[in-house]
This record gives sequence, structure tokens and C-alpha cells, in this order.
Amino acid sequence: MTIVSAFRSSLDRQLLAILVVAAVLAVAWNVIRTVHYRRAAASGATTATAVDPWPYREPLARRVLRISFGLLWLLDGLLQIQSGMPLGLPGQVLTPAAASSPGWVQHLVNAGATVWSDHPVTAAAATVWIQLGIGLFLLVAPRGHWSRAAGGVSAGWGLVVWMFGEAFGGIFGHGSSWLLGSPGASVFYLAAGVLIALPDTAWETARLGKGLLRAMGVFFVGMGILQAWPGRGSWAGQSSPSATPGTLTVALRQAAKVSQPSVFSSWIRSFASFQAGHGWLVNLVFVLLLIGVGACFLSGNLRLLRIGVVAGTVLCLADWVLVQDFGFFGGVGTDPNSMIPMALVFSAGYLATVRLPVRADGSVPTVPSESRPGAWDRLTPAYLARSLLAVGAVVIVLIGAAPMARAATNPNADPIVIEADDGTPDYVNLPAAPFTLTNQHGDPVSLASLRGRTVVLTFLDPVCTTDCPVIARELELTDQVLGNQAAGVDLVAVVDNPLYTTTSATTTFDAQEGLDQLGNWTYLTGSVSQLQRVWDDYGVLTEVSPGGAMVDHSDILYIIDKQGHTREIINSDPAAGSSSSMSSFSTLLAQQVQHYLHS
Amino acid sequence: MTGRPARRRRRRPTQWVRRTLGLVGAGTLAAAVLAACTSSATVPAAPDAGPAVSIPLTSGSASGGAGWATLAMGHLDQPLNTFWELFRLSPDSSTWQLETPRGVASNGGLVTSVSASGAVLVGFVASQFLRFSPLALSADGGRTWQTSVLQWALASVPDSLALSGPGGALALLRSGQAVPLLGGTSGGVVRASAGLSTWSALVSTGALAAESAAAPCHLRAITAVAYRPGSSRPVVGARCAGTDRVGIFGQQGGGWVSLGPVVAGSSGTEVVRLDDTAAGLSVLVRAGSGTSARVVALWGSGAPGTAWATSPALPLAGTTLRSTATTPTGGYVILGSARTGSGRRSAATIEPTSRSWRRLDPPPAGTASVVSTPSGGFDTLDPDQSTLLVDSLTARGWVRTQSLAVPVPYGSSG
Repeated sequence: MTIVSAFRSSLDRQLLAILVVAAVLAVAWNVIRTVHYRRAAASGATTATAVDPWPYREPLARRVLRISFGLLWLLDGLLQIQSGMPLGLPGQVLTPAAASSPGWVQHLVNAGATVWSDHPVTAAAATVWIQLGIGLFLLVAPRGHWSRAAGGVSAGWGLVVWMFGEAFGGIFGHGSSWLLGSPGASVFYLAAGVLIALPDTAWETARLGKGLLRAMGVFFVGMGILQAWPGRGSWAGQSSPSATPGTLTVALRQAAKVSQPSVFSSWIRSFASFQAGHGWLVNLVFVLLLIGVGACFLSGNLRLLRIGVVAGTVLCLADWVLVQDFGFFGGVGTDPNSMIPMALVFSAGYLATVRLPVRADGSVPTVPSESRPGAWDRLTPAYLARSLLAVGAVVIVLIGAAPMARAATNPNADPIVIEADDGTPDYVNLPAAPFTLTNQHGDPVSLASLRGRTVVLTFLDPVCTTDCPVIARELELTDQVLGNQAAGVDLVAVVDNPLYTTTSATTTFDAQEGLDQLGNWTYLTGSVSQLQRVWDDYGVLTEVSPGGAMVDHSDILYIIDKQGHTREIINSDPAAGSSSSMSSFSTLLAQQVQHYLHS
Repeated sequence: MTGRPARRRRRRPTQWVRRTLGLVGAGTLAAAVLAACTSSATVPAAPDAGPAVSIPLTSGSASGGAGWATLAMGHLDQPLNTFWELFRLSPDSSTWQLETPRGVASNGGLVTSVSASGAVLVGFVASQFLRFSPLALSADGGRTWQTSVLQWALASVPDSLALSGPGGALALLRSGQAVPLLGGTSGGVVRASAGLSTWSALVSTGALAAESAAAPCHLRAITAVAYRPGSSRPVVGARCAGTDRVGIFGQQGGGWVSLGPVVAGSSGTEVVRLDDTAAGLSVLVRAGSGTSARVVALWGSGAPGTAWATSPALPLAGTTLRSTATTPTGGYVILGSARTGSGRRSAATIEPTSRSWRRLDPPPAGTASVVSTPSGGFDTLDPDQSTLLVDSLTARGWVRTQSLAVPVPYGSSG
């Protein structure tokens, strides 16, 4: 809940910033319109001469792409507001998407997932604003450089999502299937963005549309071949409960379990039941339809193209409802999956083939240079409004992208990750209980002897198999984060196992964790009675159990200031012990220690 | 003049677009074919990483006047809820007792070595984030334990520790870890001369393999360590490849001599157990592989020029070796399970006096280990999650004699 609350707060703050930007743009609108009016009045004209710089209206195909993908980006942005996104996306979406892909794809996706896991609030909020901003950008900029820039931004973000969010749509993985979303929804966002970014001249002839349909034809035939390829589980249903279910059978059953309105899940269940019993037949129908639609697109014949578009759209809609389950249920659905954007792209290809733009008078209107109006005079209210809205959209994208870019370059995770598990530190101001124990070199060390330095004190079992090695690594990371400031800090651990108390045990633990390389590391031990006194003074519970159990002890950490006062008590349970939670703990601890170093 | 550039401007994008779309289509098709190919690719199997692959860690011994057994309990399909336990059967009692040393998670496994005087040394096989092996030594049958640590990880085989009478010890280290003392990562053996606090190098696997004495063996791994009976001289057992020579090596002077005999007709041998027993040096060897795999027991002094007494071969065809244990007289009892079907258990024992394998009644289903008692009888140990079921061999067959509740610490290892 900590992270979800922080996510909501972050969105609220950024929304406030966007409202401020909107207010500034409204003022700018008013000012520009006022100046515009006054200039027109001063020149004696009641209205400025407005010149449309474009010879024809926006081509229908482009408008369909621009508006539909603008709306899709808005929907995707709104889906990113779901509370499950900050924590759920890496584990439930990103990593599973790459699970069956080769190592290099997994490596790439894991790098993205790590950035997200390290900065879940920033990343989730950034994705919301970037996608809402791109959607708005596409909707408000119908023509010109602004519009083409919107297409470019859409394509760029589509590429990022395709690589990091969809693991290239699974095209490099085992069992990828057109039915289940391969080659990924974002590749069509990418394609649409590229098309929108093309110069106007590209839309003037049918070549663009025909080329696009040919590419889609090759794509559909390729997907049909892939769907028919033996040994991929495509042809199997599940003939008996003990038989291994086919790829689609498994996917449909998983889809039916997703939280969604019961009517949708009942559709999925019914189709899953039919497919399980007739796996071969269902796949045959899909294969024939895919290849048939692809052949229509490749034919170049207008009548066949129309049939292909209609059949392809029906096929896509059927798959979207019955197989992909609309794509966005379950709390971490990020988009409506691939079928809708795919259908939009080939539909745009058809429109770009049959509905070409018509020039109004065959040429761009020209105005004699001596009487050509200046930039101010060419501003129509609509153009001005769209330009300002486009600026607003860019600002929204930047409000998301700028913090994300900064976070991506920060190797340390946000402290909120570990605070979500361990809670926030407890602030106290009490004299730390004195002790004298033996360090790893056999020399006596007292707490008093560390006066004048900031002490991080914790309790570690040298033969622990889980938490203690993780905590040790967190302390090493803390030392790295502190950098030169670590010279003023002592990292001190006290043995927390009454059965393994020798300096041999502590030095072996140090060597295992590389702590023997830290100049400010001290691992203290003593007799059991000495240790028990320290455990009691610092509220450390230690329990030895039979049956091969590790010693159960408190994971707790104290920050003791230069005057020997305990200032903070931090729960140091490493929880998941992931790289993100470890990095997060180290960042939190370093920040807290820095506070007392300077106080 | 103005028309040509205008036409070029119009044509360039469409040509570029056409080429691009063509490339997109071709790329998509290539991706589809690539995906089809990758889906049918097989992942190569991981290479044999060391001696722990085929030798069962579940084991027992009847020496020092008591019976000892180590086996896994808990939820065996969940590594973090699998705990290895040490049980002891005292000579004056007919019941097994839990004696697992406390203070360390035992998920990785336990290794024991029992001296003739009854002292027992237990090593914890490293698991999870722990990369060294804590040790525990008891001279009073497990009532009190003296702890220490081995700075490296023990090999996960039943005889990776050897305890000598005067208090010295040998430890066989897992391969793949950096051991500066041994000069590499091939694993090897270290020893503690007195006490268990200071360890020194005995021999690395690489160094032993390079010895001329090991040349006929084609040594692949060291699989067991022991002391030569009645002395503090180390002996090691090994896995030999493509030969019928058994890999047993003794230290002599500054080098090593081959002690192992030949098991005729074998294309590879592996020392499964190597024990200082009442019969001298007892050795259990697996010879051959696949359908020709069999086990052979050897007895000798372990000194150079040993004349080995060799048992007949017990075929292992279709059977997986599940546990091994020594008997009070220096023999062995082994448990196997069928690789196919119901996994039916079978057990056999051999004594140095008889030198012939004797089939025991088929042990109950679920049996994880068959061990010998100090009195010379046999018990089966069946770990039913948190309960150890013990059956003893009587004239009427296996009879349930004990049901021991074991406090398996579920959830304590993460």
C-alpha cells in the first residue's frame, strides 16, 4: 500500500503541474489572440488573412491512424493508472513476456524490469503521462510538423514498449503465436507512428497503401505458416485430462481465470472447452484464414483487398474477444493487445489505397511575396489552439519522461521499495548501551572507542543461509553509496548465533561476503554471556531450534551518532532480497547515515 | 527547372516507404521462421559438475558402538522445506533419536564421519547463500557439540569428511569454488592436523590427476576420503573414466600411490564409500554404467601393495542407488529403487566374512535408507514428512518398531 499511495500522490502532483501548464497555455492563448486582434485592428483589417498551407485535407487513412492510435494511447495511459502497475508490472508482465525468449532478450527485458523495480513509482507514473501525452499529441495535431513529430514520438515509445515491455512480442521465443499476440501490439503502434511521421507526399498516391497491404500480406502468410508449423503445440487441444494440453488450450484456460466480468469469462470458457475437444480443427481454421487474408492482401486486386480487410477485421475481432480476452483485464493489462491495432493498420493501408486525397485546386495557393502576411497574421484560432495543445501534450510527455530518464541513470533503488516491506525507520534519541567485544582480528573493541564516528550496528549469524548474507551485501552497497563519506562511518555487526561464536566463524563469513575488503567493517563476538547481554540491551531475540533450523533472530539495525546516542532503529529484514530491495535498503540507510554525519 | 526536384521529392519517400515495407514484411517472415526454428531447439544438458551427481548422500554407519543415519525429511519437493537430519541408535537402546546439531540450516545436506572411539564429526553441506560448511563435533554421542567452520564448501557425498582418532580430519571440497589453498577451482582435499580450526592443503583434484599414479585411472573427481586404518595417513577414492581400475590413492612420502585393484570388464569406476571399519579399509565401488552398472565391495589394509578382498559384483541394472551404510563388521548395506514403474525398493548387504551379496526382504515403500544396527540387524528409515518411520528386519520380515516425530522447521529457511 505504501507504494500504491506514493504512486497516487505522484500522479496527483504531476497532474497539478499539468494543470498549471494548462493555465499558462490558456493565458498564452489569450495573450496571443489579443495581440493578434490588436495587430489586425491597427492595420485596419477586421480579420487577419488566413492561408491554409496544405493543398488538401488530411488523407482519410492517416486521419484514421492518427485518431485511433491517439485514442489507443489514451486508453493505454489510463490502464497504467491501475494500482497493480507499480509493483505488478515487472513480475507479472515484463519478466513473463520474456520467459521463453533467448538469453539476450531476457537480459534486455530484465534490465528494463530492474529499472522499473528500482523506481516503481517514478516508472509507473512516467508511463501514464508519456502515453496520455502521446495520445493527446496525436489527437490535437492533424497536420504539419507537429503532427509528424507526434507520429515520431509515438513510434519511438512504441519501440521502447515493444523491446522492454513485450520482449519483441515473443517473436524470438518458443511457442509464439499470432493468436496470442505475437509479434506484439506495440509493433503496430510503432508502424502507425512511422506512417504518421511520413511526409505528406507519401500519402498522395496509392503506393503507400499497396505497399502497406503487401507487407501485411507477407505478415499474415508468415503467421499462418508459423501457426501451422508442427511441434509447436498449435494443433493440440486436450483429448483427455491426462494428455498434455496444447499451447492455445493452456492460454485460454489462463485467460478464463483472469478477473473480469462473468459474461466474458463464460465466453472464454466455452471457446476453451470447444478448442480442447477440437484443437486440430480450430487451428486449421485459423491457419486457413490467416493465409487467406494474407493472400488477399498480396493480390493487389481491389475486390480481394476489400474481402481481405473485412475478413481480417472479423478474424481480429474474434481473436480479440475469444482468445486475447480484450487484453486489459486482470489489474495489470497494459493495452488491448495486438488485434485492434493490427486491424487499424491494415485498414489504413486499404484506405490509403482507395481513398486518395484530392487537391482542391491542383496547387498550393500562393500569395505575392510583397503582400504575404507575417507569422502573426497566419494564425487562425484553430491553428493556434492546436499548436498550444500540442505544446501542452509535449509538456505532459516530458513530465513523465524527464523523471524517468533521471531515475534510469540512477543505479540505486528508491528507498520506498524497502520501506514498503520493512516500514519507515523509528527515530529515537537514547544513549546506546555500552559493550566491549572482540573483533574479527581478536582485538577488543568497545562502543565507547567508536565515539566521534557514526556507527551502523546490526546483528548477524555467521552461518546463516538467508538473511544475514543479504544484509551483509546491503551494508557493502551502503558503503559504496556513501563513497568518501564512508570514512566517517563504522559498519559494526555482532554475532547472533550462540553456537558459532569463534573469530574463525566471523572471518570466514567476512571472506564469503567480501567484507574483509572494507576498512570500516567490524564483526564482533564474545562469550555467549557477553553476547547475550548485548542482545538483551538491543532487544535482539535469538532462538535456537532443533531439526536443522537456522538460528532465528531479529533483523534489526541501529544508527548511533557521533555522541554515542541511538538515533534510528531500522527493520533490516531483507524481505525478497532482490537486487531492487537490497539497493533500496542501502540507499535508505545511506541517506539516514548521511543525515547524522552532517549533524 | 522547378518540376524535377518536386517529382524527386515525391518519389523518394514512396520508394523509401516501399523498400521499408518490403523489409518489414521480409523481416516478419524471417522472424516467423526463426521462431519456428527456435521453438524446436533443444537446450543442451548441463555437464557433470562434480562427484555429487550420482552418489547418494543418504547414508548410515554402524561404528563406534552406535548406529548413525542421515537423510532428508520434510517436503522433499521443496528445497527450502527439505531438512537433512542426523539420527543415532545407541547400543543400549533400540530406538533412534534425533541428533542433528543445532544452529545451522541443514537444507543442503549433512555429512558425517564416525571414529572408532565413537566421536562423530558432522558437516553441513552449503546451501542458499552460505558458501562454506559449518562443522560440529561430538565426543559423547551427540549430547554436546563443539562447533567450528570449514572455510569452503564440502562435497555433497557421504564420505567427504574423515575423522581420525587423534583429532585430525580430512575434508573433500566441492569443485567449482575458488580455494586458494589448493590453487584452483577443481576441488580437492584439505586436512586439519589437530582440532578443526586450521586447515591446510592435502591435494587438489587437478594435482592428483596429474600424478603418474593416477594416469591409469583417468581421474575425473575425488569422491571420498578416509584415513588408512590405524594410521593418520590419508586415502582418497575417485571416479575413473574408461578404465577398470578402481581409483584409490594413498599418500606416501611426498606423493601418491595407486592402491586400487582392477574390476574386470568395467569401463569406468567410482568409489561410492571409503571407510575405516573393523575390517580395515572398506570400499564400495560402482563399476560400469547403464545396464552393465554394478557394485563391488573391497576390503584391504589401505597400505601400498594391499591385497584386496573383492566381493562378487551386484548388478544394478534398472536400479538407482538410494542409500549406502556400513555394518559393524565392515560390510555394507545398500538400498536401490527401480527406475521405472512404482520405484520398488530393493536392498542387499554384504559382509567381509561371507563376501557374497545377500538380498534382504523388499523394504517397505517410502524407505529412504536401510541401515545396520550396532547389533548387526537392519532397520529401514522412511521419512514421512515430519515423522520418521522405522521398520526392523525380523524373521517375519520388516516390522514397524518406531514412529519418531521430528520437529522439521518448515518455513525457517526463507
